[in-house]
Amino acid sequence: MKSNISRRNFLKMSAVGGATLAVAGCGSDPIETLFPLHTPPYGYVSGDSIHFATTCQECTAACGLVIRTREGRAIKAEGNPDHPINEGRICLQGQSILQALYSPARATYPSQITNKKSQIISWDKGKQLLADKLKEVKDKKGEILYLGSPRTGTFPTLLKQWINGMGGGTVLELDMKPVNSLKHANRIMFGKQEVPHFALDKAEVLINFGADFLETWLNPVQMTKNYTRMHKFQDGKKGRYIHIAPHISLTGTNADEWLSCPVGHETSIALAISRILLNKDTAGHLTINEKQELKELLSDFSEEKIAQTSGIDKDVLIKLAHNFDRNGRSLAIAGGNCNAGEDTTLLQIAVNILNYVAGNIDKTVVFGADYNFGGANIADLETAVKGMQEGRYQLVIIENVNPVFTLPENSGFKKALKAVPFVVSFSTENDETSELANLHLPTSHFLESWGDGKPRDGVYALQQPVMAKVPAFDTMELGNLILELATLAGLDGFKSKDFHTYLKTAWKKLHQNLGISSPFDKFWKQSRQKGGYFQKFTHSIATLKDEVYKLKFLQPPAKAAGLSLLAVNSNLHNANAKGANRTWLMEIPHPVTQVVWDSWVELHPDTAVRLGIRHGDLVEITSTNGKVNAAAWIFYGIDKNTVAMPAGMGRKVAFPNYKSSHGRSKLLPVVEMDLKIEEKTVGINVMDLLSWRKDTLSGDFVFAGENVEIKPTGEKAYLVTMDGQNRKDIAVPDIEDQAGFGDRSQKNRGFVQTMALGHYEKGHEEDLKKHHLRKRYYTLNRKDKTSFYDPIDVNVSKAVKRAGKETPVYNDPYKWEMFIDLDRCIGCSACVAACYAENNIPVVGKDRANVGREMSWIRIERYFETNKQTGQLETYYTPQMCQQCDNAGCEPVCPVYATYQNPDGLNAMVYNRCVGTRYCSNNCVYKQRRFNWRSYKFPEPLQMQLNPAVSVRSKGVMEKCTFCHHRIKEIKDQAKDKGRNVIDGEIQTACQQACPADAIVFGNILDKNSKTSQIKKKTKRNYKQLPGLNFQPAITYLKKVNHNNRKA
Amino acid sequence: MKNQFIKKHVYFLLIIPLVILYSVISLANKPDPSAENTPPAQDTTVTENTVPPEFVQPVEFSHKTHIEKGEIPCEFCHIYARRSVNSGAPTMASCFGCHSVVKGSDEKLQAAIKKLLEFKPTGKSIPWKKIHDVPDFVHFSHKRHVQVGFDCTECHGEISTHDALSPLTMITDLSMGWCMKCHTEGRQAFRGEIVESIRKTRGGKIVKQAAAQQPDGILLGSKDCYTCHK
Repeated sequence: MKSNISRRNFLKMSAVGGATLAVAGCGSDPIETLFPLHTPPYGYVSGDSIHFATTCQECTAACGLVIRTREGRAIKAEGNPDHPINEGRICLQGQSILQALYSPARATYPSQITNKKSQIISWDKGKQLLADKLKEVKDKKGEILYLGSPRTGTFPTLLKQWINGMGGGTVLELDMKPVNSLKHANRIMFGKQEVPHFALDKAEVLINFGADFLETWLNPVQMTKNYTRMHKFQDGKKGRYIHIAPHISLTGTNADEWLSCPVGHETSIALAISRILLNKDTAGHLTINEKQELKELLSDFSEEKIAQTSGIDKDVLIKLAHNFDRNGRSLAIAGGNCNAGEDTTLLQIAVNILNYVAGNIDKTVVFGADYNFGGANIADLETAVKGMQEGRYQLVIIENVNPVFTLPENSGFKKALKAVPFVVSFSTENDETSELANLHLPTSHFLESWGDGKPRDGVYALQQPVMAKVPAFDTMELGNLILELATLAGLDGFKSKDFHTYLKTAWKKLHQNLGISSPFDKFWKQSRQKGGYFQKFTHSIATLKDEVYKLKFLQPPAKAAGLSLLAVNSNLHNANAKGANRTWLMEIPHPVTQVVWDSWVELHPDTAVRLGIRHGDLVEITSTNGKVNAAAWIFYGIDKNTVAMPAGMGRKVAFPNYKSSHGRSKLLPVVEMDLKIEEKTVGINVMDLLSWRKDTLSGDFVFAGENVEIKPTGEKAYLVTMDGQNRKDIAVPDIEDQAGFGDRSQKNRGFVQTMALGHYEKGHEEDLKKHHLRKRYYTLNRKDKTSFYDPIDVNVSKAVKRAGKETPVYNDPYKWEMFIDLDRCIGCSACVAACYAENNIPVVGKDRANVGREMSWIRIERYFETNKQTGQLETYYTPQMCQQCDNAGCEPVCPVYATYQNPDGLNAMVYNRCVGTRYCSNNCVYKQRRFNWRSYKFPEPLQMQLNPAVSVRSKGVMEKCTFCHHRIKEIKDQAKDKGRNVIDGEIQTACQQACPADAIVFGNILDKNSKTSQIKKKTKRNYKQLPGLNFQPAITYLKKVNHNNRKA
Repeated sequence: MKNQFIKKHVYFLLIIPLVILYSVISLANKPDPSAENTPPAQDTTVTENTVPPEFVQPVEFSHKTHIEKGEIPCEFCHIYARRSVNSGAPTMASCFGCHSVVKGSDEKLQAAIKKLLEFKPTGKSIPWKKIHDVPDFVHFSHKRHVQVGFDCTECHGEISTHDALSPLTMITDLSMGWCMKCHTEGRQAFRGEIVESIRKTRGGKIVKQAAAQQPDGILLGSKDCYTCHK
């Protein structure tokens, strides 16, 4: 007899086994402990959020923040709507500050490092130790070097007084996003050493020489806001943006036109355009003398010559110049790492000349704002390093900057630091520099401290603690520490008992100076509520200085033998490397490359083929300073003789606390057996390749133009990109594509649709017929357009019929819909970070991201489309999240009704019903459902950031975007308290709130006056994704409008 | 023959020890099977002694004493119930407020109050055991229910008759089925009328053919899962 299991026996057994499992599974809920507050803060309501206005100190843009706190914990960072700089929005990095506040990498205790051994000490001992040292240095007449992060407002004054009291020394502000060249150029040109206000919104044509103004340059949020105002489609018009640079990053991919030029040629191009304008005789606002002098200055830069050197066609330059001549309604900008060569100041002057000739000064380039950006220049730092080596400085204090990591090796900083007798770190986090300190006194995060800032003239931003100090960290506010040290060292003139008092005194003076009529207490209270005191700045007229005529512009550099390296910033990583250990910033795909958890090197396809490199190969990059290995990423948006790498990656002590008991990181990629996690880095530090070079006039650090050689190693890199192309099984090999880049288009699915400017009035239905994208869409033609669900009145009448009488109905008159304007979306991914923060989304790490287990509820999908007219590749972005379909694919296949259509028109997802069959995910055509393959941990104390209004999901549960349903619920509840319905605009989803381009509009479609209804009624650009499937999504996209059907 | 039986039922025999193992584990894991299986007691004369040991509070606290003797209304201490999703355990400060004066009438009470006051200088809070607890994935709103006119006793029972609360004093298991009973059928409001502000946002005004307005006195809750699960 065959000892085979019969079907009958199998069923018997599984029934018994199942029953046992069911019994075993139904344990009672664990008993929970309830801790009441000891003493509640004023105005505290359990379960309600309290919002605090404060100021962001991530970069010198000093945007206004509103931090949402629950039960005394900061849980979400949002922009302050009252703040004139960021107008209620913050960038991707700003969204991630909570991960810095609760960072596992933060220093826990004050510690003393002797003979490489770290020893925890008490604060009293630490302070006394430093005070004694300070006294000793003062007695010996030694000097102090204070290396801190750039700050504005009251603190620098205190610090200066303190350093002077301690016997003198140097205060340097280290910022690797230097803008000294810009200030310097304005001094030479107009006699104004300042960063002016660039009124992008007033321009019709924008020429950008490589500044990453949508990512990190100056204040990217304000720039994005203003850029969108200029570039959005309205009344049949939209602005034009031309990008002239060797590389297009996220900013460049948003341009209407990209003119590629070799590194270092931007100056000559700007001058050539100016020259064309000068010769055009339209520059009537210039005096005859000015014209004469400028003509002479630019005589060497004829369009013919520049066309030859730069490779940009002469006619293109002339057309560009004519286009730019708008009587003050155009703007040219330059800056950022892409332009940071040895002649950056000259480039800035050339751009100034271009703006001056076009009549933009005082119109789109407005002086008087005096923005406070950036830190010390590299020349000063060089002197400081020399001083350290020569023993000029007896004591070095380093506060929240990481020069050992962010400066290149051959700056000599690390070596010089070792020569200093006593090094103190005031840094909040443990980093490469604090490791070398003799004493580490960790200061509080800026969200736990008092402070202020003055980002520009007329903006007095207040920074207040939004919560008590995070319990896991024994820290002290920086201001308090400075004041206490002064008392301990016996200095006079530091009367304030803490920095809060000191700040208040300073603001009292400000209150007097500003001549505000209301009493100070009221002013102080208002400032704390609004995040500061805001005024408009006074314009100051700029006139051309003769100094500029004496300048000598160099001819563009001759073609170099090797490749030029650019170390570029992005909104995820920048040269200050501040976010390089925040998991959100690692996990969120880089908008252009879609790479996660890694560095890469961008190569032009032709260059790659010439060097024998295919996409995803591990290549060796060699400069005179070092050698690194990185993955090759083939990209059309780079000059043929240029390669680009992201700055600010490769932190060595990035995740000290992320180790599991097996010595393996839960987040980092597979760690080789003999390699410790501490040695493993995320990506590589591009600074290892760069030389210690500076701009000759201003002293800014040089990020562009390092000569490198690249060769393949013969290995494949472990590069994870989220655009779905790493799947070998679905990638179609293309013999013609020697670079191995593959087809990264939408594959004719029409997720992003475009229309040409000028055809708008005819209606886009008609326009579509002529449109070059027309033939590409799937033409699945389903006749059936019916909905699964009856409208509410039909539903009710059926119920009434059944009951035979009038029945009471519970009805909320809402149906939530969203409109996403792809013409506004710039792909910055701030929404993605906001979603991570709001919805307790776990980070999964590189390995799991590689197998498609990323958990992000919203992602920025990037497509490279071939324009059939020009044959060029173009970059398009679209935010993708759950489309909340009416006829959803996910709902009917769920065997347990865990997902269903709720009365508000949302696809509800009930986690506690979900059994994890993943049928819904398989049936979702938009691929918007995420499955929890693990119960992901939030390493301590990152779990404090979790939003209590959203359930934390565990293993085996499906999840997806809910349209921030908890926010809807909260506002609905508040409206009900007041006995009314929700007012349009009251509810903002997290992604909508974060969007600096205002691309997302969310609201109730049943309300005829809501913004969504108005858009639905008026727009002719609307489309739904994959309409042929009749899923009837609640998200409507608005088409991208392109000039001449083409973009960069 | 026996051999054949074993052969035939080999899988079945293998599973038996597993079944036993499962049962043992599951029983061992349960905190107290008796508490689990006992239906919620309707008897209101439960005394302190019947409180299962895992629900004994760290400080002896009597709702009965506070409500009956002190004549304190619920919302005097649970101040957030009307305006927030949480009713809120009273803060330590509010306990100290009265008990710096009220010292207790007998030795037992005095001892308990003394124990409470020991928390004052430490800045720590009493780790209360949660009795009326819904799972973490349930986001229940107190204010929604209090505002429409529910009385606390309708869900929590006659708290004033108990010295110590425990699962045994609960009038309901707070299960979803219990919630949904009211939400689907509708029920009489506590004082026979719905609070004005709520009535404005309800009813058939918007929907033709339905009752012109939600009939006064009948409460009808949302049946949407998303109301509580989010």
